[in-house]
Amino acid sequence: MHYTIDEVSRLLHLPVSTVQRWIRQGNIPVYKHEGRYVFLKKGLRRWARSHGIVFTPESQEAAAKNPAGDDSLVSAMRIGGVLHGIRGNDASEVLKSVVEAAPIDPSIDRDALFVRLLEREELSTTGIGHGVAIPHPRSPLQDGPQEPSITTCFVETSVDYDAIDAVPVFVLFLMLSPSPKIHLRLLAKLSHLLRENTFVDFLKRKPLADDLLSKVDEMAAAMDSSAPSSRPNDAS
Amino acid sequence: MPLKMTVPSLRLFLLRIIRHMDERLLLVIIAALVGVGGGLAAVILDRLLFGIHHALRAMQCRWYAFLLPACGAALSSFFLGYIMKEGAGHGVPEVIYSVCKRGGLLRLRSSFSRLISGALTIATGGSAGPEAPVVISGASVGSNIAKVFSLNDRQRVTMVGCGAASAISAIFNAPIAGMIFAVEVILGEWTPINLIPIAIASVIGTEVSRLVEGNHIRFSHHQFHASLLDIGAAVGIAVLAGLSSVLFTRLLNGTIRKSRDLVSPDWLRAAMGGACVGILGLFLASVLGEGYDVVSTVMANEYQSGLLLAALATLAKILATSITIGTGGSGGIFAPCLVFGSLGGLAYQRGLVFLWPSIPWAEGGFFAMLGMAAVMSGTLQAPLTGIFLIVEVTGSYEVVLPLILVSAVSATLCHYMEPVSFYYRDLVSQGQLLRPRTDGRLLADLNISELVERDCVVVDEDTSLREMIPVVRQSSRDYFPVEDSKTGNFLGLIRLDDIRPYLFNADLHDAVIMGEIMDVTVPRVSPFDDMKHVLDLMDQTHRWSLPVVQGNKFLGMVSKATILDRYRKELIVQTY
Repeated sequence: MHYTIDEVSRLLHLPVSTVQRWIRQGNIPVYKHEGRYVFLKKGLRRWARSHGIVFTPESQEAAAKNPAGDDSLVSAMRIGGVLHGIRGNDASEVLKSVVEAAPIDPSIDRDALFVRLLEREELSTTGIGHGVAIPHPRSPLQDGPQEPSITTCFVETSVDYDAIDAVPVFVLFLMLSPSPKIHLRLLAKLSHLLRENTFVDFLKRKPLADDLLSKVDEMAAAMDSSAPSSRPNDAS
Repeated sequence: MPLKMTVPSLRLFLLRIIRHMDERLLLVIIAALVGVGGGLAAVILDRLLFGIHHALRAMQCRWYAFLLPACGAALSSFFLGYIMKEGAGHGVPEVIYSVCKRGGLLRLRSSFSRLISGALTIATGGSAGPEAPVVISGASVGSNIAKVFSLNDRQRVTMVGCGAASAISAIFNAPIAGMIFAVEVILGEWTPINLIPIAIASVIGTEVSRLVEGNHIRFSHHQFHASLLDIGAAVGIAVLAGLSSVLFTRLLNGTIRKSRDLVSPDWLRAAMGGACVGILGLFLASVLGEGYDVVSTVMANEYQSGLLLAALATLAKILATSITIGTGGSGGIFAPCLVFGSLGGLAYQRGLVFLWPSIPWAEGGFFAMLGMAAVMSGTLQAPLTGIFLIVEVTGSYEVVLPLILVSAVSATLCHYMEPVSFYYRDLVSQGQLLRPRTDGRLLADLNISELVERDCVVVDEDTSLREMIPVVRQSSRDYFPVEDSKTGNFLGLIRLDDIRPYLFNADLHDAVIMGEIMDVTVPRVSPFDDMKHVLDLMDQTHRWSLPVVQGNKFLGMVSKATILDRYRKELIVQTY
């Protein structure tokens, strides 16, 4: 029903002192309630609209702060699921079966996704070496997922994927992200894991979903703690 | 409602009603209250002038009568300066300053101080008008009533306009002129939100004065008959009136400047000015006082003097008013403008008759009326106020066409020769004439502390290039302020563009430290700096961002991008 000054200053992306000045000058509709200034939500929205001021309601505000929620590797992999025994004699066939088997959002057109994955492979291979490929569409899907997902797919027999080191691929990570930013962040995390030989060896044993996720969780936690401390000098 | 109601609880009760009332309705109701206050201020001053004038009547015929204006001006100056502790100014510029800079805040004592000082100056013979004192009184009543109702700045400014409008309406019995004066001269903006309360206040103010003083036109006269030739001749009076307005403005400004250098105690200066006017009055009685009777005589065609005497009286009135107000007497320029405008108009008509006696010229009152309109429009540089005031105080709508013509010509001529009117002169020279939705106003409203961006990552002066890499990676900004590692004082600025080429050169990673390569010449701004100054600094040094530093400590950056964003929002919210 009401917004406080602090909330309004956040919604309008203005310092509190500016909002206080606007109240004093009478530039913004405000009411006094029990000795404090409050803004009626409806009235403020109407005021913002009539003045053409960009006004971000709370739900969108939260979304903008943390786009598409959780972007941790483990949760993306959990959403994407782990598939075993993917069949196919070449890259295209494998991708076809991956797209068919992956537990992706029902709103996504699987045929279109397959075409876009192939397009991306034609541009340059996503086989990054050591028998691993990370297929993904070139840009976020139009009716794409709200949450990023990574589907781990172990193939029955390794296939020639035209990878950069020409090693046949035994595992694919199908990555679908709502935005390029999240895509880049997840890709950085995943490739960081894949740089560890122990992890690749672990993958070669084609672990079950629970084992894989707990291993990733454990390695991601180790990675975070070993990362250099983020702030050499306090910015405050 | 409990019977025993204390003042604070009554106020709370009122505030609760106000909160649930539509803003426009609320402003109209408060405007009516302000209108009563403004109207009463005008009536009180009118009565005071009348009373003092009559009490002193016996003395006015004596040889020492010239000392009366001196005593009046000295007392008025002493009263304002030492008892009320207010400046000697004549009122209207103070009201405009308050509207521009202080959100319409005026002191409560201003609601009566100028009435007393104005009465002292004018009733003893000082050549000044009672309008400025009633304007500041009415405005102060409006401002203080707005304070009681906890109105915001914008609403308070409207109430100040209401006070001024009701005062002018009441003293001239001219409601339209009051409204126009408030929006044209005092507020400088014309919006549906402020116009309606001001109209209501004008109506109420006029009604108050009519109830007490009766309803009569200030300078009534019989109907004028103006031929086409008279209208053509009106252009001449417009030019002459424009020139005399410029003369008056310059003389007034000159007197203010010169007299301050010559005599320093305010009361003594006012006394000497008063004495000068008194001596002038011994020879030409028409220069004394507010001079409404002179205007009435001229308008009624009863002023007997010929061409030379009328011209002399015009100049003497200009001089007397410049001295009275310029030396610190309390009063306005409205009434004197009417007096010398009418005298000048009369002189012009006498001149026409002298040069072309065979042509049937319109009577003196007609040209006197045109002279008043032209002088008002020229001196105030407010042609609408001039036109409507004269139409209302003379009741001569039938000659509105030449009236509009002379007002327009005179205002244009004066604007060409003296671009700033007397009311705005000080404000403009100090950069304080801040009208709504102008660049100056927006920049004055924005201040650095609201614009400073505090998300910069600060580095020590001995940070190496290698240590800068993670800093660059995590920072979202292109600027890195450098601080002294011991004192924490701001030393200089590193720009990402400056170090970018070397970030990838591993040979330099340990060879370069930030203290060596930072920009120490970057101008610093303080959080209290004027926005205009900051923008000028950015333009002069071709920079888009400047560091904000207070007491040698870095606070953040201020950038043109943020300024544009806020400037636009400010402009939008100041528009209804």
